[in-house]
Amino acid sequence: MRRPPVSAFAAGVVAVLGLAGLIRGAVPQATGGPALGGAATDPIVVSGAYVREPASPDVAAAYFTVYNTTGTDDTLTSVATGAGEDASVMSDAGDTMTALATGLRIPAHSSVTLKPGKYHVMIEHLLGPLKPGQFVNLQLTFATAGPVNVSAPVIAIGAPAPTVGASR
Amino acid sequence: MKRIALLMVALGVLAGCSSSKGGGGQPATSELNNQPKVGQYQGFGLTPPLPRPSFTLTDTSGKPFAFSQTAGRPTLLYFGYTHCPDVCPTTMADIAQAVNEVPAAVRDKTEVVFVTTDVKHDTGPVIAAWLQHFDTALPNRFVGLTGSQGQIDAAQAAAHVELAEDGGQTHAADVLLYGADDYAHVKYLQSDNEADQIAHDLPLVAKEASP
Repeated sequence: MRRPPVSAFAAGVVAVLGLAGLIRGAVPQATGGPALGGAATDPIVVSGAYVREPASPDVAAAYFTVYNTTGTDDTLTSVATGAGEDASVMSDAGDTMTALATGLRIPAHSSVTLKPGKYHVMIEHLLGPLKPGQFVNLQLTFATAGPVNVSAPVIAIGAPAPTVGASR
Repeated sequence: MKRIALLMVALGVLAGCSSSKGGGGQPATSELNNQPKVGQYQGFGLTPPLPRPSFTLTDTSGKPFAFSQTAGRPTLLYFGYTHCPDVCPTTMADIAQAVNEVPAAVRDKTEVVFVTTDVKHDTGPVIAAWLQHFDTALPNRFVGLTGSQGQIDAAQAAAHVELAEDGGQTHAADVLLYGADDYAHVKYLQSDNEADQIAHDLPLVAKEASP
């Protein structure tokens, strides 16, 4: 109950990562990713990315988990996307949504999860409708690690968020 | 799985704290009797309960809508804005999921009212187009309301919700649930299990007898 069998868990992780369109070969498939302490070779591993189908014609949000595999803190400084003209990392503190002017810090050997009510990437001035089944390309730029490309599936408005193996 | 279990433990601890606010030991029986309804809800209990507010705004077809039209029916009230990427649509989706999950007898009576806090951008047609992403599968379509800034401020004050600022983009994220007795005994905040909380509590407030 506490923990599913490791094999099933790893398979789930692989399935989720595959679904999430994780790219750039960031995760060693055999170990099921950094959540299980696998030896990730890339400094930054992004998993569980998704964009919820927006109800607004103008604005959408992207979510993902960023894992910093290195021994030094890094910062997500900017995001670019093909889905809209602008993308920015936002924090939801209480009732207020604010742009993170200095970026989102990802502590060493830690992960940060963007999720509703906490952090999200706001995509504005959408270039077209986003429908489930489509993928949104995101280029995340980190202060130290540089650019990391992610392909995030669009999920339906009422669909549950993908569960992320790498979150903790 | 593990995280859900931990969360439930955390909630259990919180519930324990709130029922023994006298500072240790068992709460007095009289204290429990004064708050008989708080413990049964999964949302945030409201003591004292908030009466169903009175305000009249404009619906998405341009007609006046008095909130008192929902009297006697379980009603979810939410203030937000459509040009909102994160909390507002997630909250509306949670509400829709919850209403869809409760027994049909409750679902058929339940009303959902969305009031914009961004009167400049959110015209009737904009709100209608936004709401139809959430409510098409439900027997009662969501009511979308707008008005002048003064009317919206007055509605928020009547509902005891913090006034929105920054052109409506900083707003209270509370979802208020009014029962058949025309009081809100419980409210919700965006969270991973908001839909489950609402679905749990809706049938309870649908049965609240009038005071």
